[in-house]
Amino acid sequence: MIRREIALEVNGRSVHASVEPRQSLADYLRDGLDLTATHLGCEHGVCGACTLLLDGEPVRGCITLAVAAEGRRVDTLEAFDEDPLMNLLRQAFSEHHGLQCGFCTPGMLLMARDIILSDRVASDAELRVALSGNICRCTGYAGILRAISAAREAWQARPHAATGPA
Amino acid sequence: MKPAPFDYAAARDLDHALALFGEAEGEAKYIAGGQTLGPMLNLRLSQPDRLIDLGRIDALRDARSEGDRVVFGAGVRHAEIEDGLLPDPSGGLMPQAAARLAYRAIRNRGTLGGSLVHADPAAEWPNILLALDATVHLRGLAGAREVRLGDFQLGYLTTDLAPDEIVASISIPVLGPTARWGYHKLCRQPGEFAQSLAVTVVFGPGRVRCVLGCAGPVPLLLKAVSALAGGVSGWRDDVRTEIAAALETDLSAAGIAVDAVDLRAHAATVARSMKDALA
Repeated sequence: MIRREIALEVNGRSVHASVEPRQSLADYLRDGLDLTATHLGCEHGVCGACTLLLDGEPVRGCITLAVAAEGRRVDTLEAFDEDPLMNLLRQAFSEHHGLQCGFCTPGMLLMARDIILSDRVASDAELRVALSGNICRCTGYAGILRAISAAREAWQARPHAATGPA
Repeated sequence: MKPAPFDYAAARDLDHALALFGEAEGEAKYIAGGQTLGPMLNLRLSQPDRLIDLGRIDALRDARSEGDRVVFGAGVRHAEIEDGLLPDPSGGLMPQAAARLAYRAIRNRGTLGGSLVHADPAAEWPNILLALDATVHLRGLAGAREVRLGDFQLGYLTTDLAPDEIVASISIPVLGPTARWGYHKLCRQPGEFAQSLAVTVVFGPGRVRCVLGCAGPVPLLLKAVSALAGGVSGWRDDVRTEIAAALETDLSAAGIAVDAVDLRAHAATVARSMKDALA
């Protein structure tokens, strides 16, 4: 079996591993590091359940090879336990029925955080488009959209909001 | 599903990539953003023996103005175009189209060159860059060559690219200050491949390139429609009838038969793109 040595940063700590070139980053995180917040749904880049951050940007973990993450920074939902915006999102998802089974939720939360921080989305209609790459089969999306809107309002209304991300 | 086993090597630069290709046993394939090849590997539609990763070649990420053209490294990502981080030869057309190309997580990885090489006639860049009259610059084991995009796309998912060749860069003429464009993509869900996609670029008086995606095996440069658009001054709603007739002429000349529903859809996207370009 062909294997490759890789070194990368996962959730703030350095990791060294031996992986098969064909192993996806999502599989490596789950099976190699027991980081199971990253879910695998369709495994061909459509559903968004495997969304994680590569060098700070949301990407599909199922079609990113672990070997291609050599030297890169990877952040999964586990990295955001103390993140103030993620805590607002968690609370809003809970209050607004932003989840039912929870399978899509890690991807939804990471995408929602990126949407709010990037400031690319101005209206609710644009929010729907921005979230169209993450599939939910339970909620019908209305609760998720309400939750993200509520979290965004709370984030923008926080003290010192004008100075940028906390 | 999981990919079939393969070997993997990351290339330092284009020469290294070509050397890795030359020494490979069995089928070797280049990978850049991996947003198309990744799914094909997972579905085992593609089972190469070796992947050569172009994702670490800095030269492929470059974009610069060169006289009256902008030259994009083939590894430029859709999100970089969407965010306006690069020189724009298209007067806003490319950023607007990029923003509705798949999803942000895909756009963060997917590349301009990868889209052209995959050559899906329903995808944004093969159509838009044909309308903008782009040229692709290729590097292969036998040397370098350049091909106009209209000669590059040979058929459905098929290009003039040899297995060892790499799209190194894409050169696009800068639109003049009086140029106008219109672009319309029809799809049920935002981000999915288009059901119909049309782009009209008015370079100057009488100089129009109107391209239609999704109707045939390759993006279609609509000659009759372009001539029609070049001959009218401004937009009139009653020109829609003439557009539909010209479109049927172009499809017929290309030997393409579409059903009545698709014809309506294509006529609508062509008319909307032309209206935005002329109005």
